[in-house]
Amino acid sequence: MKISTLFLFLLIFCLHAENTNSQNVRVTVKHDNIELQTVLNEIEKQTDYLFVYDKYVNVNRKVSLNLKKRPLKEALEQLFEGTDVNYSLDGTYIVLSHKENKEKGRENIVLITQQGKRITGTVKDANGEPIIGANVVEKGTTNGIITDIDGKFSLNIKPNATLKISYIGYASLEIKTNNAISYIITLQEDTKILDEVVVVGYGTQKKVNLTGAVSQVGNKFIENRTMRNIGQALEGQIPNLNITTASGEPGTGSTFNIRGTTSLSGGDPLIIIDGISGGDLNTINPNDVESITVLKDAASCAIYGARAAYGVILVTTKTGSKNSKIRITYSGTVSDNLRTRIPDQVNSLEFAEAYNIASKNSGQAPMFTDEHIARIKAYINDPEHTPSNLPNPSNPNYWSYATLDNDNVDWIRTFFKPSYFSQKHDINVNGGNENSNFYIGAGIFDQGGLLKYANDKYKRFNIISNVHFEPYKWLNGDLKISFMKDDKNTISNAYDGDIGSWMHLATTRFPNWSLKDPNGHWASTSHMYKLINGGRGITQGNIFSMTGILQAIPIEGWKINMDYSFKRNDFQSKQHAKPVIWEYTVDEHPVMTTQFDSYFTGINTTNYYSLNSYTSYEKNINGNYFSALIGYQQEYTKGHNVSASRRELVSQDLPSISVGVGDQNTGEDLSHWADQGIFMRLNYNYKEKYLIEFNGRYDGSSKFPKGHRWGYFPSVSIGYNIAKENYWPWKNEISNLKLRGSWGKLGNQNVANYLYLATVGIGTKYGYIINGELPNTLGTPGLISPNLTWETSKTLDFGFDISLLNNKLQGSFDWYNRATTGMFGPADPVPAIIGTSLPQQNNANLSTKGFEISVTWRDQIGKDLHYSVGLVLSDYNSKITKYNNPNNLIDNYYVGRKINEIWGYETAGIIQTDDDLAKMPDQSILYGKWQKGDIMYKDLNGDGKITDGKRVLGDTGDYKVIGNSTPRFAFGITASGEWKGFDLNIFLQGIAKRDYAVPGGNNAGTLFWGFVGGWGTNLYKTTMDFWTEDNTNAYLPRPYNSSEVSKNQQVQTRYLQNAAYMRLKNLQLGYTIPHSIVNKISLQRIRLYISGENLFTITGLNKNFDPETLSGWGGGMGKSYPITKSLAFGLNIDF
Amino acid sequence: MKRNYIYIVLAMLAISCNDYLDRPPLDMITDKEITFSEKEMELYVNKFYGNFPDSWDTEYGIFGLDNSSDNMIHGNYNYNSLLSGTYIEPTSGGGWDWGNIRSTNFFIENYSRTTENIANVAPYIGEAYFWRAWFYFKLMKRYGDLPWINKTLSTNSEELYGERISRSIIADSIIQDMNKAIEYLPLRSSATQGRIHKEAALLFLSRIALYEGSWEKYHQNTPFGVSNANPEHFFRTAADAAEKLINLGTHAIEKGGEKPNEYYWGLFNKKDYSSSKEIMMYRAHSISLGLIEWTNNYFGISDADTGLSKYLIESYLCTDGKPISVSSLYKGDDLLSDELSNRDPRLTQTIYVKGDVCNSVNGVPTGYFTYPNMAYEARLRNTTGYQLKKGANPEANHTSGDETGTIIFRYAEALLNYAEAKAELNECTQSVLDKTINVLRDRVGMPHLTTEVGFVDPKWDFPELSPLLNEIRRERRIELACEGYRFDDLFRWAATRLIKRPMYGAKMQQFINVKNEFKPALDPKNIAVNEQGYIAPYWNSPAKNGWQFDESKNYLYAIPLNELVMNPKLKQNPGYRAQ
Repeated sequence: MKISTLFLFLLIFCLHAENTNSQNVRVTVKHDNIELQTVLNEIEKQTDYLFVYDKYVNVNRKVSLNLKKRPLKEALEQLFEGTDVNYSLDGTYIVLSHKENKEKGRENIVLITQQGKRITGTVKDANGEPIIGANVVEKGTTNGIITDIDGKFSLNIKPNATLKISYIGYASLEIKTNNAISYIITLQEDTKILDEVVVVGYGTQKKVNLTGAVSQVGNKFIENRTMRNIGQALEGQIPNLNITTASGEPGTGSTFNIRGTTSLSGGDPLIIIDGISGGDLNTINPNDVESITVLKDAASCAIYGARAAYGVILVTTKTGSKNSKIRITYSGTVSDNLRTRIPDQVNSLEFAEAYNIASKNSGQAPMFTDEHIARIKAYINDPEHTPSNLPNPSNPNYWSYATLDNDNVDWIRTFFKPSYFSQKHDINVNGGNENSNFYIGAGIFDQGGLLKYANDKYKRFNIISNVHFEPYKWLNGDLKISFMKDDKNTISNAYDGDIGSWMHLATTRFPNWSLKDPNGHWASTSHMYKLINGGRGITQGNIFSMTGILQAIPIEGWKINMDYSFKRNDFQSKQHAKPVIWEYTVDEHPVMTTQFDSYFTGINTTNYYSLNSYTSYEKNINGNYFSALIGYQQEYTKGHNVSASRRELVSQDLPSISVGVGDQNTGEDLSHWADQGIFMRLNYNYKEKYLIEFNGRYDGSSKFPKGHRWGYFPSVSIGYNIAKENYWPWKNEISNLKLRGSWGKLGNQNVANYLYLATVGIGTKYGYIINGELPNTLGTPGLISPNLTWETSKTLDFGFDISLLNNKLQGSFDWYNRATTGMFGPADPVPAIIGTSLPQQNNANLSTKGFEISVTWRDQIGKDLHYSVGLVLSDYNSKITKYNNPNNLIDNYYVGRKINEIWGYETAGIIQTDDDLAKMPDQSILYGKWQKGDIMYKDLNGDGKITDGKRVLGDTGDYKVIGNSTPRFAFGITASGEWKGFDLNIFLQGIAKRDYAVPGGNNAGTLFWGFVGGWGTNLYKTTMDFWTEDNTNAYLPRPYNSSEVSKNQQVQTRYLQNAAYMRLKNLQLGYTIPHSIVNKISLQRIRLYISGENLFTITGLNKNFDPETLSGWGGGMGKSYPITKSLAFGLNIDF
Repeated sequence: MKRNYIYIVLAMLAISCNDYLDRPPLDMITDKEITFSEKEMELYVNKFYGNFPDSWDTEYGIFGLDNSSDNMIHGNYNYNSLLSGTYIEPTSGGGWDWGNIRSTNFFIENYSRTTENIANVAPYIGEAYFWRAWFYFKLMKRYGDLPWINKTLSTNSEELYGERISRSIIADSIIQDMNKAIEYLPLRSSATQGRIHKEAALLFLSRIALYEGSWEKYHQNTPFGVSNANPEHFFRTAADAAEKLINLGTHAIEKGGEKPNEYYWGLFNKKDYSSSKEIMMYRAHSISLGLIEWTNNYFGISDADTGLSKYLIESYLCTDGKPISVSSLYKGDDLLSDELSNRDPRLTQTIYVKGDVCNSVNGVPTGYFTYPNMAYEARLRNTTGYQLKKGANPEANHTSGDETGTIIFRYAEALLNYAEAKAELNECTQSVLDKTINVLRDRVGMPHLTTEVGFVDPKWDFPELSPLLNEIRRERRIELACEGYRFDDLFRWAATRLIKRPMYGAKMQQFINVKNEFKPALDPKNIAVNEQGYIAPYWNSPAKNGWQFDESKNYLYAIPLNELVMNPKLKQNPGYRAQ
């Protein structure tokens, strides 16, 4: 705390030292016997004050004044002492009034601005539409107004004053007034994004002056789309911001990555939402976001030091704007969401016949007897009158589930429905006057689920309030408060955990298994009772955050900032597993299962405290621009997790620990960590032509032992805007060409707490009864890493920004090499005799190289058609540059290994003839017996047998790298156009190159292979093309129902999947109703739109898989909760 | 200069507030804080108990373990890759697991830190030694020669790169640990229920020594033989340990049920063995504690893709004490009812016969056994016509979890170990038989075995051995059938030729004859039958003529290849590739 106290003192000291209120405004006037009016003019010039006075004040009076740097007040006193004029300060006005009129009140005084004249005008855009809310200011003064609903304004100005007219999105315009009293002013849309200001760490910077690799998107990308969360909005928008969404389950968020492989121990970008680090992008309301900035290279991130090794995502929420009237906007969408790819299962007859073939191949008796197949046929022909099952011969009052069933069920379509409905509504209010402004946003998002009987759903509510106030010219502050509440309601995870995932369950039900028994009750094997009556799993999150910011500006260019944030994150989970009817007996008695009779409740709270204080100074002297920033940050996070569960509830209607009487479990986890840092930044540029920036941060983390805690992370970046040179010959064609280069070093502390301590866990309820109880246990201390310290990442970045053809074409390119050194790699391989997992060491290096390109073309055709086309393209590729694997075992990392490379065999083909069998290489390392229909692998080294050698580099036999699963050349293409109120947006996103190895030999791969060796097998339309004597031209090899299957399912070229894809992420057509119509119902704007997400996908991938959810979760490839395409209708209204 | 200055100032500031970054664990203790108090020692050794046999080991719990032998035939001929000859050298893992050894070493190395009275903590010290022996024995059975590691290693320990030591020395070290365990452990009568006691340790010691003694004797002059083999030493240790246990008199052979046809079977399906004289240790289950077992979801309801082998059925004697090949009481095997009549009563208490109660509620039968479930789905079918009953509990909940106990140590093994060790030492007198084999036979009313045996069985499994040893081994097979001993026995006796014979089950014709009683209607086409008409589950598999177990290498597992690369002094087991 010492540092923070120190800074606090500093700050307060500064505030006292440079108190700049009106009392301290000083003037210098030296005149003898001159008209009062001249003196007033003089004072107006020297200060920001304007004089107003009524006709009774004699400004032609001769006065004398001789003051040098004296307070304004003194001047006024001297001027008006002993006269009949009163003076008073009112905001930026000095009001002079005749004493006799004083009693009459101010209202009666006709105020006339000094030598003022009144002008009126209209501000319009290029289409002639009025611009509402444009700022019209008399230059050099604070005298200004904003345009009204018709774009009109009127203002008193001095003769020959210059007007400055500005509006967001339009180029500011200055016009010199003449004798005219009415003006029509046309603002051009601002294609010069060069003036754009970009949010960077602890401040903002003009885009034109950036020297690092920084991308920013404004809220245009987010508004007006049917967004679940920011992740969905950002996908494909920023090159090398890689976003993945693992499943379509309601409430599932996205994960973010910047520039590819970070570290072997993982590393995510630092997310900072309004200055609070460690936020969750998935829980903020896209509608409240003003801009998102991604800092990619080390130089831009260095100011955040140890937590920013793998990039920073800065989110800035909306604020109100100065001098704008209160505006209310509403936006809402409703959408229907349809599952994308659903595997088509075969019917029970096709299944049974195919399954018997595989059983025969495996030397097993056919599972389906002729009699059984006859019943299956009978059922398919007449499901109405054929019982779906038989009583169990050994236990005749029960049905023969999972054995003799002859139903015909498409399990995926049984568990999942075709679509769900979701809606999102947002309303926000903003406004402001001279001294304060505010933004309040509230939104609700309501998402349905695809589970047919579980009524799973997700709801999120966000509210945010950003208030900015400027009590004095030299002091301003912000108070930002936000609250998020979300609520996920689905079936109890006791059952979910029991079945894995519903996709997994669907793949492990044979088509002939009963959905209902012959009496019409749900079958036990269908698990339907769990979906319907199994109890609810409710998880609720509450995130409350509050930030107070104070900024002092003692003198022009010097800012002192201090902010303090508090965030509390509450996550509650309640899981109620009800005893349910498991099945009905043949004579229709219900059989209950009590296995899951339990209730679980858990509360996980995290408190986060952060203090930032920093000060900056900037100055421009004859084109030499300097700025410096120095600051301090500290953060502390404390987590507390309490949970309890209890079995045997007395009442299932009141699930709580208190109504349980059975075995009870409780638990508590406590954790905390802290970090501290001191940071600084120095900028210099000469006429925005030569630019240089230094950053540095000295950072400490509680995650490391004493003596290894602190690290210093410096960076430097330079820029050269060659187009600003006088000799630049193509000023019109290429108005901007800035070459950039940067280098920086950052730390990563992304490891578990306490790796330097040999902690010993205490276990409870161990699964062996001693003396009638489940005992507690004490763990074995492992090996520790006493010298564990920072992992560092060094990034070298070269790039350029270019603006061509009158700024119609904008482009940006970056190449980078990020070297991650001293990684917390898995330790050096040590013989297993050590008997424990090895401590992490800072022992490995990785290099990630890549590039990113973004290009935008904006133009208009004729007067009405505006359009733009944009492309982002990025790529990365990583390889190990240091790793302690002296023998180069290929099952471990080795120097030169490319991350995500896929090792496998080259396929020669399917064994078709006896000749093939005789001539094929010896494959006995994979399996003892080979026959027709099996896979023949290629004997690459010609030694007559298929081997993987010693599995060390250089001796891998016929085993080789056959692909790489890194997504390469990720791209996004946006096109948008506007025409007379219509707008159209098209957004395509994709991956141009990616391989995917299908898992073999276990039930993870059934959606691809069909047969996976017995349990877990299911068959789909795509998996029926397997080898038999009658189908020798098959795609898939001879099937087996035993572990023999794995000999044909080795990772190999024949079945390597091409997981590249292009997807129409968004297609939107909107129409803004003409203002003249809307105006009649007292509204500002109405826009209607229809929008579709994920409407089509082009991919070479097997039809059972969606390219975005390949890896699956809960049981294997493609076994994800289906993702959806959506059709939405939306409405935006500005009141 | 300027940067240096800043750096120094920043460093000073940082050092001055180092305490802000001191965030020690809030909910964990560290190794330095372990004082080896009585409580800590108890908690520490508790975590090893999960390594005892478990109801989850197979669908039938321990009663499915004989699937890896000639006693039971699993539907998948590749159920045990070692037997089917499809085992290949792993690159890592594969059972080469030293985590538990490290855990026990940490205890044994550091427990002297304790300030407790040794008498109070002796049981836990004994348990630590027991468990180290347990884990080492498991590794030795799997890999033979081993490095001997008796301390916690760090990444720079030389021992990591040491050689393997002869299994004979390893076995002696294990025995040394067991002797320490026996010294420290309390008698069962004063041990906490569920914890290891002296008697259990004695039984386990006899098992270890008998295993090593037989291995050294029967693998002599093979690639698996031990130089300077000393089988007598180990047989002696085995006999002594078993004898000590028998002489303690705290355990006995007891009847498992009220009725004669439950004397044996009734022993294997109890919830509570805490006062059993014969079941020395068991895993208790409790629905209310959420610790349940599932074996009875298969028993009696379906089968578990397995069945007893004809060889096992044939090895049961007739009630006259003679084998079927010579006894006049044997009625042939055309019908199960014939085959099972006049046989050692343990036979019909091991497999289901028509009319057996499969399910009952409070003693009232609700389901009877008719015929084995041979036409079921693979994972639920019976494979041979002989369906396992040993271990079944008709009273159990057949649809969700149950509380039947899982047996860990059974006293009968001590008697069989003793008889066998004595026979190997040529010291098996009639009095030895009378206090071992004949006690077991008395329970089921079988005639006594005499040292002369009194008959010649042309089908003895070990014609090269003495009749007495053949009969002692037969008794072991019968008494301990389907309890998970057979795989180890075949290996230590170097007797895997017994699994290299074609595996088969009952005669098929009898089931076809009763097709109408057989629900679901049996489709004979689907059941593989050999030329003699016996059910032969592997008829269409590579194991048609017996498992392709490779006797030149498969007696041991392969050391993972990566380990050999990392430690060149580590040599591969015979027959396996080292690279």
